Amino acid sequence: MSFLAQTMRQVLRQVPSRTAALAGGMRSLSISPAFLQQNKPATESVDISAISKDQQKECSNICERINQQVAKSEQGRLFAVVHLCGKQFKITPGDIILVEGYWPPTIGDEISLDKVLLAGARDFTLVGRPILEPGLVSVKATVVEKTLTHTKTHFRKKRRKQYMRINFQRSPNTMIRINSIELARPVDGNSEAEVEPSKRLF
Amino acid sequence: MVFLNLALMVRARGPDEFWRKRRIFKLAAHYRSRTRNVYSFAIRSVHRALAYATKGRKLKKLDMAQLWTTRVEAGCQQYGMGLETFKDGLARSDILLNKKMLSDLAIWEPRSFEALVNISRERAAVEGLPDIKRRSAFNQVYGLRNLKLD
Amino acid sequence: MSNSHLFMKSGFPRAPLQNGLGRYVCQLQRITLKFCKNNGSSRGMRDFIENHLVDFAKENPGIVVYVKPRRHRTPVLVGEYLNGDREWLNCRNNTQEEISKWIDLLKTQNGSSSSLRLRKMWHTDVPSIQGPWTPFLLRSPETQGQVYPNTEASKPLETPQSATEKLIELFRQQQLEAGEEAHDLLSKKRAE
Repeated sequence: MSFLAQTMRQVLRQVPSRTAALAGGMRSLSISPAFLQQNKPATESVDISAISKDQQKECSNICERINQQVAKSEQGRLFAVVHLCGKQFKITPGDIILVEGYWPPTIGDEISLDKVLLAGARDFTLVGRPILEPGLVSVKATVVEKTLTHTKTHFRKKRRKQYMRINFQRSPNTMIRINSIELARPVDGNSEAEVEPSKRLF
Repeated sequence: MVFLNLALMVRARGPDEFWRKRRIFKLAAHYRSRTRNVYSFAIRSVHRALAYATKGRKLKKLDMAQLWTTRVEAGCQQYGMGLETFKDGLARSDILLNKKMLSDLAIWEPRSFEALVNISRERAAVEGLPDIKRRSAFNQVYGLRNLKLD
Repeated sequence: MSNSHLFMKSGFPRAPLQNGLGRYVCQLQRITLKFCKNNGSSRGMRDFIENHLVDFAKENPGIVVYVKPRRHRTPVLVGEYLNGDREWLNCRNNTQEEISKWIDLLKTQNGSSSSLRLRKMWHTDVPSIQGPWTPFLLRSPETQGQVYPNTEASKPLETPQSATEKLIELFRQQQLEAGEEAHDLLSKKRAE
C-alpha cells in the first residue's frame, strides 16, 4: 500500500515538472523516431497502450512542433553526425571532411551519406538508435579531392643493438565537401513508442 | 666523386660522404649549438627526433582519446552524472555515438548534449543503475530544474 | 620526417574557391609528359603514350596534355594546377600501370599536396549551431545579484537523512496508510 502511494506521489511530482520543461521552450527536446531493428524484438514489442495518455500527447505535440517549424523553414541550419568509413563526423553544410585510407569514390562524385546517427538544429535534436530511420535526413556530399598524405618517416632504432630500420609511407586521403543536410520528410508521430521518457512509467 | 685508383673505389662504401651528411644536416638545420653543425652530434639528435616522431604519431591518438574522455566526463558532471553511468545509459538505449562526437556535442551543441544526458538518465533510472541520484557539483545549475531527480 | 621539421609546412584542409559547392571543377589544367624515344628508362612512358594517352585526353577535355620527347633524359611527369602549383614527378623505370596511377593521382588532387602536413581532418566555417558552451550556460541569472556570504548558497548539496527525520517520515507514512484504511472503511460503510 505504501509502495503504491509512493509511486503515485512520484507521478504527481513528475507531471508538473515535465510541463514546466516543455513550457521552457523546445530547448532540450529529444525524440527518437522508430528505427525498428530486426535483432531487437524487445524494443519492438513496446505496447503503446501501456503508456499514459498525456505522455503520448506530449510526444505527438513535440513532433508536430518540429514539423511546423520545418514546414515554415524556420529551423535554420541543420547539423548531423554521420558514420563514414569507421569514423564519426559532425557536419553541417559547407564542411570539408577527410577520409583516410583507400576509398573507391573518385573526384566529382556526388554521394549521399546514409548512416546518420544524430541530426539537430537550433531547437530540436533527432537521436538515432543507433541510426536514424533511412530517408528521414538526407545528407548530400561531393568528393573534391583524392590525394596522398605527406611522406611519413617510420624510423625505429635500438641503442647499442645495431638495429635501425627506416621506411617511408604515404596513404591515400579523400576530401569530401558536404553540400546539404535536409529533413526529407516530416517526423512521424506514430513513433511515440520509441520515445525514451515514456518508458519511465512501466 | 672521382676515384684516382681502384683501391680507393673499393674502399668507398655507400653514397658519397657529402650527400650522406647533407641529408642529416638538412634535418638538423633548426637545432641549436653543435647539434646543428657537428655531424656526430647532429646524427644522434636527428635519429632521436625521427624515432620520437614515429612514436608520437601513435601517442597523439591516445592523447586525443584521453582528452575526449575528460571532456565528456566534465560535460556530464555538470548535470550531476558520472561518465560510466552516462555511457552505459547511452549504450543501453542503442545510441552509439563515440567519445569524439560526444565531446564535440558537449562543447559546440550543448542543448543536444543535454538531451542525450536526459535520455541516458531516464534509461539508467529504468534499468536501476546506481549513481543517478548524485547532485551536480555546481551549486546553481539552471538545467537541473528540467532534469527529474527523484 | 619529424613534425617540427623546417621544410614541411603544416596546414588545415581547404578546398580552393568553394569547389564542390555548386559543380565540381577539375583543378589540373596542364600535364606534360617528358620522355626519351630510345632510352630504356622511359619504356613504360612510351607504352603509356602509345596505348592510353589518347583515351586519357578524350576522357578529360579540360586538361591540356603536352608530350615532349627529349634525348637521353629520364621520363618526367609535370602537372600544373589552377592555384598555380606545379607538381614534378620522376618516372624513371616506371611501368605503364605505375605511370597511369601517377597520372590519376595528378588528376585527382587539388595542388601539390606532398609538402603539407594536415593538422586536422575536418574543416567547418560554422562550428556551432546552438551556440557553444560557456561557463554561464547552466547558471541561473539570480547568481548575478547574489550577495555573499549567503546561507542558501553555502549549504551542502546533499544532507543525509538523520534518524529523527527517518522516524518522522515513517510515522507520517503509517498515518497515511491508516488514513487510507479508514477512508476505505468509511466508503464501504457508505456503500452499505
